[in-house]
Amino acid sequence: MPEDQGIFHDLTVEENMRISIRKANEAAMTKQEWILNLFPDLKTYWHRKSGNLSGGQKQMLAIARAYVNDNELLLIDEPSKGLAPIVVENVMKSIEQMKLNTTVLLVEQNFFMASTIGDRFYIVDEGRIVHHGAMKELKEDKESRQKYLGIA
Amino acid sequence: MDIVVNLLLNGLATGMLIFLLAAGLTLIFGLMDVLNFSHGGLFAWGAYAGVWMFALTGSFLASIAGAVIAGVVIGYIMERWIIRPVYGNHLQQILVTMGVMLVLGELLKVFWGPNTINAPVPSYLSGSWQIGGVILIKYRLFIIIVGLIVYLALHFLLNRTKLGLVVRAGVMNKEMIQALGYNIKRIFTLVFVLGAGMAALGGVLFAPYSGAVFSEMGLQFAILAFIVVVIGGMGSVKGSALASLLVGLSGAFMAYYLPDLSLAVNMLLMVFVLLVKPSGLFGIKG
Repeated sequence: MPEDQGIFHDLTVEENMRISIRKANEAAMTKQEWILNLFPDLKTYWHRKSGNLSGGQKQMLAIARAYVNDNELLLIDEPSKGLAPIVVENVMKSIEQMKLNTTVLLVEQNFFMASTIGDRFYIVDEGRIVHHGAMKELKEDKESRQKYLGIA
Repeated sequence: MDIVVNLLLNGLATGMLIFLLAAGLTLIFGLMDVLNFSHGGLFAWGAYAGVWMFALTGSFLASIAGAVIAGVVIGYIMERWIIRPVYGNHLQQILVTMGVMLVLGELLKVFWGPNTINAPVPSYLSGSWQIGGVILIKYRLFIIIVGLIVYLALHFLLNRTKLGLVVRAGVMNKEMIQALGYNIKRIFTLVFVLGAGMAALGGVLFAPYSGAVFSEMGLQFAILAFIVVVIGGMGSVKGSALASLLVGLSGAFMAYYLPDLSLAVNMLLMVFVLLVKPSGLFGIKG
């Protein structure tokens, strides 16, 4: 998912979804239904041009678009950026769902989100991986969190 | 009254012919970012192939089919081996497509000789209807109807099918379309071939309208088509349709009422649109 979302601003929300679904089979439709229930805003503006959506809604559309296909690997860059806290929760839910049958590589500064979703972690500082391991350990390892992230 | 109706039909018919060229041109520019100066050559080839088929079979339908097939085949060869190597380089595109235009024109002379060839109107489309003192020339009405059908078909293709959706999205953001897993090269070929087919159709329809075909016939229409693409907005079929009718009608009326200005009017129209809205009437790209 590119950072500028890469949605087609002159197409409607519906068209953006339709163009993203590679195979319009039942599975894809079920997934679309699920994600639309999670982000009801998208349903509300279904036939509006996506360029008129707010930043957060565009983000939802970009996430919905990534979700509907069967992917082996998803690269997600800061999905919580610019979203209201309540929407962030839904974004997290959608990523949890993606994780069930897709490998997700998530880049995220929001430690709460990253630690809730992630199984494994890599902390990158100035282009180098400075620490990595299982997320569970990091959650319990106060010292490392202080050292690498500056939070307790 | 009579003259106004006639000028109206004349302008609309010319507009439709320009549209058949401009629709392909605007899609090719909008989606593929290719400046295609050889479009007029396809127009001329459509006309010659059509006239040739008509002489051979005596059937106007066969002549239309022959023209479109010729356009599609030449378009495919051009895209595949001549346009594809110069994607992304406007200067090379201008040189190469200008060259193709010249070669296509000269090849016409090789096959059919340098003289103009008569292009008869098929008997069932010649003549006119007279309704209350107003004379309606059948063939002009025919061109208008065919133009409308092509516009509606194109509109349907672009707005109601998945392929059309991909093409429209591709005009906005090519890279993203590829990222979503579509083979953009195949879509380029399809759009180019579609544009070539429409240009050839324009040519074969124009032949009986003007009464004769000659190898440079495409040039005049290609220039008008470029003006129309600029006025209508690059990449917008709707804009091209509207601008085509505008250019066709203003040309027809000016030629009658202000003949001195008839050549300038299209340029003035373009200058005016560029000053007021630089992206064109329905411009998608800036």
